[in-house]
Amino acid sequence: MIDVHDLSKRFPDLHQGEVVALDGISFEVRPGEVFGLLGPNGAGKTTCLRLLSTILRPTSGTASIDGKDIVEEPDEVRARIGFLSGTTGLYDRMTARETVEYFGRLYGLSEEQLSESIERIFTTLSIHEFADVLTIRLSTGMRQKVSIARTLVHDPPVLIFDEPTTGLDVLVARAVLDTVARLRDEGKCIIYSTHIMREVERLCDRLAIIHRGRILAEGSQRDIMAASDQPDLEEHFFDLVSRFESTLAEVTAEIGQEPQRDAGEVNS
Amino acid sequence: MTRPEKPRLDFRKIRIIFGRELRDQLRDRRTLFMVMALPVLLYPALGIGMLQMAVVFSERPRTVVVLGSESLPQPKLIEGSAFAARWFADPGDALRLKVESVEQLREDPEIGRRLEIARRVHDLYRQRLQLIGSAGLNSGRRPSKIESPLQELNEQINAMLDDAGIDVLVVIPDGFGDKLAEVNRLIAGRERIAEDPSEYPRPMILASGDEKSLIASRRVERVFDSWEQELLRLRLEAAGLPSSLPSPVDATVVTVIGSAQESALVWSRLYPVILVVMTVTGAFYPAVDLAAGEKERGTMETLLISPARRIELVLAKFLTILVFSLATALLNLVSLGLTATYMLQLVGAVNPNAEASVAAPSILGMLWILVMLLPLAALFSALSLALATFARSTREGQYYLSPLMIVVMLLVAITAAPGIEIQPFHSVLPVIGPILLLKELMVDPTNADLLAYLPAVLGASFAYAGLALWWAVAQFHSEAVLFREAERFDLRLWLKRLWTHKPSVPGPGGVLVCLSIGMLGQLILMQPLGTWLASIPESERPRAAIWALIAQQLLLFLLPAALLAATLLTDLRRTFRLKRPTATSVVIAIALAAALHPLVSELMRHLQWFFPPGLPEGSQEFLETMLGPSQPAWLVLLAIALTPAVCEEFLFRGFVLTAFDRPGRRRMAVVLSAIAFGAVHMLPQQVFYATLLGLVLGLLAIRTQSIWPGLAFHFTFNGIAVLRERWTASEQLPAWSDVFLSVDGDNLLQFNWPLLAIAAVVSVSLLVLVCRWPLPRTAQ
Repeated sequence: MIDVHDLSKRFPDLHQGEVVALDGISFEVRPGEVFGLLGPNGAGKTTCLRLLSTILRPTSGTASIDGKDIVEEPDEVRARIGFLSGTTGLYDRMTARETVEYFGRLYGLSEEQLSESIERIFTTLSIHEFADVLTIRLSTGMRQKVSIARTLVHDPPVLIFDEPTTGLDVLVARAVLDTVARLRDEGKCIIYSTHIMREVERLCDRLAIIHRGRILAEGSQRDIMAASDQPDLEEHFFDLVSRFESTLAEVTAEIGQEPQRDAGEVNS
Repeated sequence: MTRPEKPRLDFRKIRIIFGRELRDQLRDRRTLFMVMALPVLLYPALGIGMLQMAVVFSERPRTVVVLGSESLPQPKLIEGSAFAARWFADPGDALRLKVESVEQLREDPEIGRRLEIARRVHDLYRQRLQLIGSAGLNSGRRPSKIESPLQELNEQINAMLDDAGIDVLVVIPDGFGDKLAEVNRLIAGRERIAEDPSEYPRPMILASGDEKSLIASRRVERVFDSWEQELLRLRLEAAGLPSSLPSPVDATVVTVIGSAQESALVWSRLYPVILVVMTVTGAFYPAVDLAAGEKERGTMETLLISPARRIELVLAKFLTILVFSLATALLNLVSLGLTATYMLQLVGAVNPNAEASVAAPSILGMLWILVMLLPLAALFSALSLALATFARSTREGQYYLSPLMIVVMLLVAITAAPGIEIQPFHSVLPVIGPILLLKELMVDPTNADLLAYLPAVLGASFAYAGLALWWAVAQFHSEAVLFREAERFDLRLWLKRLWTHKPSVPGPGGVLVCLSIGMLGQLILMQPLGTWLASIPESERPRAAIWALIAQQLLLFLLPAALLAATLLTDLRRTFRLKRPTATSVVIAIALAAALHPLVSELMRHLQWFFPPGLPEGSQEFLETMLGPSQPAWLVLLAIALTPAVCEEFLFRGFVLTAFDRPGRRRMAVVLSAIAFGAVHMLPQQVFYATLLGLVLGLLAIRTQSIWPGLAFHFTFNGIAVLRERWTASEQLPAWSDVFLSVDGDNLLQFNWPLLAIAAVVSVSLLVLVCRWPLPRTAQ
C-alpha cells in the first residue's frame, strides 16, 4: 500500500549550504501491519512522512500510496490517508465535534456517514463527555484524542503517525498505542515514526532504522536482531548509529567533504 | 506515465472552508468589536468631541500694529481697538483682529513698547528695500551676493515680530490722508494733470512667514479692500463721476450647479480616500490572522493534509477576507456619512453664512460607491493575503501593512491632484482608475460618457486582483514560505555564499537588481544628460545625443546583466542563450519582424486615442532632428536598431527570461520577461507595444533556445522603423508600390490594406511555425 522508492529531499539552508534531509530511501508497507520509522531527532522521519502526505514535494525518487503517486495525484493521496503528528494543531475556537465534522465534510463524507462515523469514533475514544467543549479548554490528552478522531473520521486505508505520543502522559500515550494496535488489527496500513524504543518493541511488525536521511537497517524486529550481536534493539540502534558516524567521519576526512549518495553506500 | 487531467475546482470544499473561516473570525469577539462596533461608535464620538473642541480651541484675536494712524483719511478705518465693523463681510469678524495704534497709548502703555518695536521693524524693512534696490534688479532671481544679508534681515524682522507678539504690521505713510484729498480735488476740478499724481507712497501690510500671521494679514488685506472701495466711491461722487467708472466691463459670473452636483463635490473628494483606507485596513488584519496566524498556531499543517487543494484553500481564505474588507468599508462609510451629514447640518443651523450646506450624495452616487468598492476590496484582499502568507508570524505580518498603506495612499494622492480627470489611459491603472471614475460618477451618476469607462475600469481592476490572487496561490505552493522558520540571517555569510556557491543561472533577485538599475538609472540620468547636452553647441547636439543614447543603453541594460552574470553565475552560455542558431531560425525571425512591423504600427496608429499625448513638442522636434536625415543612416541604425537589439535581448531574453524559466513555467517566464521589457520604457505607448513584442521575442528565444534569432528580429523591426522615419517625400517610390504604400498628410509612409493583409497572413503562419518548432530533447 505504501511504496517508497529512492526518495530524496534537499533543502537550501543559509548556514549549511544544502541540507540533505532524505537521501534515497526505499521501503514498503503492507496493509494490516505497523511499519516503524525509528531514529533520533533530525534523522529525516518527519520529512519522510511529510513527503508521503504530500505536504512537501520530493527532490527525486517516487512514492505511491494505495496506487496513487504522491507527485502526480496528490489530492487522491490525501483523500486516502490519515495524518497525525505533534505539530498538527487544532482550531481553538471550535468544539471537538465541530472540528471532526469540519474535516469529515472536507473528506467528502455525507451527513449520514459523518454522524455515524463520529458516533462510532467518539464512543471508541470516549470523547462524548467533552464533545461540545471548545478546544482551547481541553487538556492535552483530550486534544490528542480529538486529533486522532480527526485522523480517522473518513476511515482511511492508510495511516501516518509522526511521534503521536509527544508530550502526553503515560496513560494517554498507552491509550494511543492501543488505538494504533487496534487499527492495525482492522487491516489498516500504518506507518509510525518515533524515537522511543518501547513503542517500537510493542507495536511495530516491521521497522526501519533511519539516521541522517538514510536507512541503516530494515526488516522485522526478529530479522534485525538476528543480524546483530547486540542484546536488544536499543543497543543495536546505538551501535548502528555510532558505527555510521565513525565511518562517515573517516570518509569525510578522506575525500575532504561529506559524501553524497552516489559515492556509494557508506554502510558497507 | 500519462499525466492525469488537471482536476477542476471543488466549490463545495471552498464553501466548507470559507464557512468555517468566517464563523471562526466571527467568534473572535475582539475582531468583531473592532470591525463592527467601533466605527459605529467612533465617528459620532469624534463628532461630539470636535464640537466640544471648537469651543475650547477657538482662535485668539490677532494683533495688528498700525504705524502712522494719524495720517489716515476719512472715513474711519479704525474704531477703538479694532477695524471698523462695516469693512467686514461678517461684522463679528472685526473682533478677531486687535488693532493697536498710537491712539490707544493712553489706555495701555504696553502698546507703546510694541509701537517702538514696530518702528524698528519698519526701519529694518527700509534697509531691506534698499538692499534689494541696490542689487539693481526688478524681478527674477536674486544675485547671490545679497542673498545672505537679505536672509539675515528677514530673520531679524521675523524674530522681532514674533517676540513682540505682532502678527501684522501696517504702516501708513506720512501725509497719506492729505495726499489722497489732494488727488480728489484735482480730479473733481477736472484739471489736466501733467504727471500722475497717484505716484505717492502707499500703505504697507507686513506679515512674517508664520501661518497665523499670514492668515491675519489676508484678513487685513480684505479690510483694506473694502475700505478702498468706499474711498473710491466717495472720490467719484465728489467729482460728479458715475460709480461705474472703474469697471467698464464688470462681466457677471454665473455658475449653474444642480443641487445634487453642489453637495456631491465635497463628498467626491472625501469618500474615495476613506473608502480606500477602510478597505485596506478591513482586509489586512483578518488576512494576517488567516495566513500568518494559521502558521503560528500550527493549524496550517492540518489544513494542508486535508484533501482540499492549495488553490481552494487560498480562494476560501480570500473570500473570508473579502467579506471583512467589504463589511469594514461599508460600516465606516455609512457611519461617517451619517455623522458628517448631521454635523454639517448643525454647523449650518448655527452659522447661516457658512459655505454651501451639504447634503448626502444621491442614491445613485452611493450605488456607485458600492460598485467600485468590489474590485478595490478584491485587490486589497488578495494582496493582503499574499503578504500575510509571506510573513512568518502575525507580528511580522502586521509590519507589512505600513508599506502597503503608503503605496496605496500615494496612488490615491495622485487622483486628488486638481484638474485630473478620467482618461482612457488612466482607467486601466490600479486603484487610480476606479477612484477617478468614482469621483466623477458621484457628481454625475448617469453620464453616458463616464459609463463607457466602466468595463475597462472594472475589467482592469479585477485583472489586478486576479494577479494578486495568483501570487497568493504561488505563496501557498512554496515550501520555503509555508514552513519558514526564524532564520538567523547573517549578512557576511550570505555574501560569502554568493561567491562560493554560485548558481548556474540567475534568479529573481538578480532580475530585480538589473531592472532597478535600468529604470532608476534612466530617471537619474535624465537631468545630468539634459544639462550636458545643453552645454554642447547646437550643431553638434544631435550627434552627441545619439552617442549618449548608445552609451546609456550599454551602461544601464547590458553592463549590469553582464557583470552580474560574469561574477555571480557559472553558466553564462545558458544564461544568455548563446547557442548558435540554425540559419532557418534567423531567417524566420527576420521575416517575422518584417511582417509584424506594418501590423504593429497600424495598431498603434489606431490606439493613439487611448494613450496620453507622448513627448512634449520641443522634445519631439529634437528627436526628429536627432534621428532624421541630417545624421548618417549607419549611426542612427547603430543607436536605434543594433544597440537596443543587443542590450535588450541580452538582458530580457537572456538574463531575465532564464531567471524565470523553469520546467512547466515556460509560458509564465515569457510573460514575465515581456512585462519587464515593457516596464523599462518611458512612454505608455512604448510600454504597450514593447510588451506585445516581448511576448513574441520570448517565444522565439524559448523555442529556438537561442537569443540570436530574437536579436535579428529586434534589429530588423527597429531598423525598418528607422528607415521608414527617414524616408522623405522627395524620394520617389516605384510605381508598383502604390498598392502597398501611400503617403499621408504628415509626409509619412503608411501601409495600405493589401500590404497589411499579406503581412497578417505571413505573421500568423510564421508564428505558428515558431510555436511548433521542435525543441531539442534535453530542454523538455
